[in-house]
Amino acid sequence: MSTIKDFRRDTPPMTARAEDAARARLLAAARERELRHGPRHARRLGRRIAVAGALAVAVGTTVVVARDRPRAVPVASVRELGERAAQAAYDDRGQVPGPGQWLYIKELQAPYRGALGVDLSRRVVSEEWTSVDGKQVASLFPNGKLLVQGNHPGLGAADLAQQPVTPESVLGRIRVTLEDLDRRTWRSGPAPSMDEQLFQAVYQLMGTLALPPDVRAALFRGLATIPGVSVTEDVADAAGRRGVAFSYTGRDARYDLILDPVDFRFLGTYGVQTADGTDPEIKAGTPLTLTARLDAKLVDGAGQK
Amino acid sequence: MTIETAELDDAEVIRRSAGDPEQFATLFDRYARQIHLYAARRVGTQAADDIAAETFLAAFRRRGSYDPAFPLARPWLYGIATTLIARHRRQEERMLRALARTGVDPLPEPMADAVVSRVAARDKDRELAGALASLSRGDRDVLLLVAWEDFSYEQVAQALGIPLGTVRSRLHRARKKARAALGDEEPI
Repeated sequence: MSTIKDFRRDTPPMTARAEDAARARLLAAARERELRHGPRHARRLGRRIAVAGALAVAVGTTVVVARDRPRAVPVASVRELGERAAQAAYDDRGQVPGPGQWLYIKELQAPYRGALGVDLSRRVVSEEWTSVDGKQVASLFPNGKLLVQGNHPGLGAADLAQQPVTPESVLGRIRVTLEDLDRRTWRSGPAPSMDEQLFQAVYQLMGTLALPPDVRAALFRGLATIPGVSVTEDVADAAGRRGVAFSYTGRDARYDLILDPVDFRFLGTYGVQTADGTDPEIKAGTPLTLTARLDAKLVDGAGQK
Repeated sequence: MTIETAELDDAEVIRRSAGDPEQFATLFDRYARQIHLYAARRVGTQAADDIAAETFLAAFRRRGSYDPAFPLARPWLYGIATTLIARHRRQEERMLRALARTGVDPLPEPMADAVVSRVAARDKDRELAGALASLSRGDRDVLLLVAWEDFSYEQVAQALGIPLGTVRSRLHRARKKARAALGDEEPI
C-alpha cells in the first residue's frame, strides 16, 4: 500500500454520540426551516426546471434559424405572452405519443460551481427520459446504469387531454391531483400556496411531457393566469439564444422559462438569486441554473435516443 | 410517487428536501461518517465532530443551489467540508510539524489504543507529515481527496470548484514534494 493512503489510517471513526448530535442538529435546522419559512418551493421549482428542461413544446421540431425569420414583436403582458404562445402551440402538430413511449430530452447546462450556483463560463450536456404517462423519469449514471424514478405530479398527456380542454379545466385537474398529493404526503410544516404548487406543476408537466397542441395551449394560457407569473424580455439560454420568458419570482430567486420570441418554441431556463437573506453564502446575483434544450423526441424506451 | 428513499439518488433526495426538509437526513446517513473520518485524519476527531455537523447544516442551507445534473452529492459535500477544514489550517499544520519533529502524532484520539498508535509512528510518516505540512492548503486538499477518498480529477474539480487543469497541476506539485520527502518513493 502506498504511504499517503496509510497515513493516519487508524484514525477512529465518528462516535455514535457525535453522530447522533450532528444528525439532531440537522433535523432541528430542517424543522425550524419549515416552521419559520414553510417549504422553499421557488427553489424546488428551479431545481426541477433545471432537471427537466421545462416547457416541452415543439416535440420533434428541430432548431432551425432561418435567415429571413420574422422579427420578434415585444409582448406587453404575461397574458399576451400566454395567448401568443398558445396560438403558436396550435401551429406545431408535433408527434403523437404512443403508450409505453418515452420523451427523450437533451439539454445544455451550465455546471454547478462548488456549492455556489452554476458556472456560467462552462457547459455540460444532460440527457433525460420521461414516460408518456408522466409517472416516471429516467437518467443515466456516469457508469451507464439507468436510474428510473417517480415523477411529480404523476399526470400524463392522456389525463390532461380529457375534454373539455380549457385553461380552467386543465388547471383544475392539476389542482385536484395536487390537493390529493397534499393529503397523502406527510408535511411537518405548512403547505405552500396552491398558486405556487400549480405554477410548479405546470412547468414540470410542460417540461417533461409530450403534450398535444390543445393541452399545451391551455397550459400556456393557464400559466398567465397564475398570480406571481410575469414576462421578462430578452433572456439568453445556455446556448446563447435570446428569448422572452415566463418568470416567477419567489422569496429570494427568480426563474425564467425562455421561449423563442418569434415562434414561442421552448429554448431553455435561467435562474438567479435575487436577494442575499436566507443563505449568507449565496449573494444576490448568483446564477442558480442555466439550460438550453438541444433536442426532444419520442422514443420506445428509457435510455434510447 | 411511492418510491423508497433508498432508491433515490442524491440529487433527487436534495430536490425532495426542498419541499420536505427532513429528507435531507438521508444524505447525512449516507455520507456523515466518511466525511467525519476524512476531517478527523486531517485535524483530529474533536474538530471533525464540528466539521461533520457544520458540513451538513451548510449543505442543507445551500441545497437550493445544488445542480441536479450530478446524481451523487459526495464531491459537493466534501467541497463544503474542505472549506470548513480550512479554518483549522494552522492546527493541521502545527500537528503535522509536531509529528515530523517528534515522531508522536498529537492528533487527538479518544480511543484507548491511541497511545499505541502515537508511539508507533514510522519514520516514513514523520517525513510525510513534514511534506504535508509544507504544502499549500490547495495542494494538500487535492492530494488528500485523491489519496484518501479516491476522488477522480473531475470529482476534485467539482468539489473544490476549480478547473481540471488546476487539479492536475496541484496534484503534480504535491506528489513531487511528497516523493522528494520520501526519497523518491511513490507517495500514492
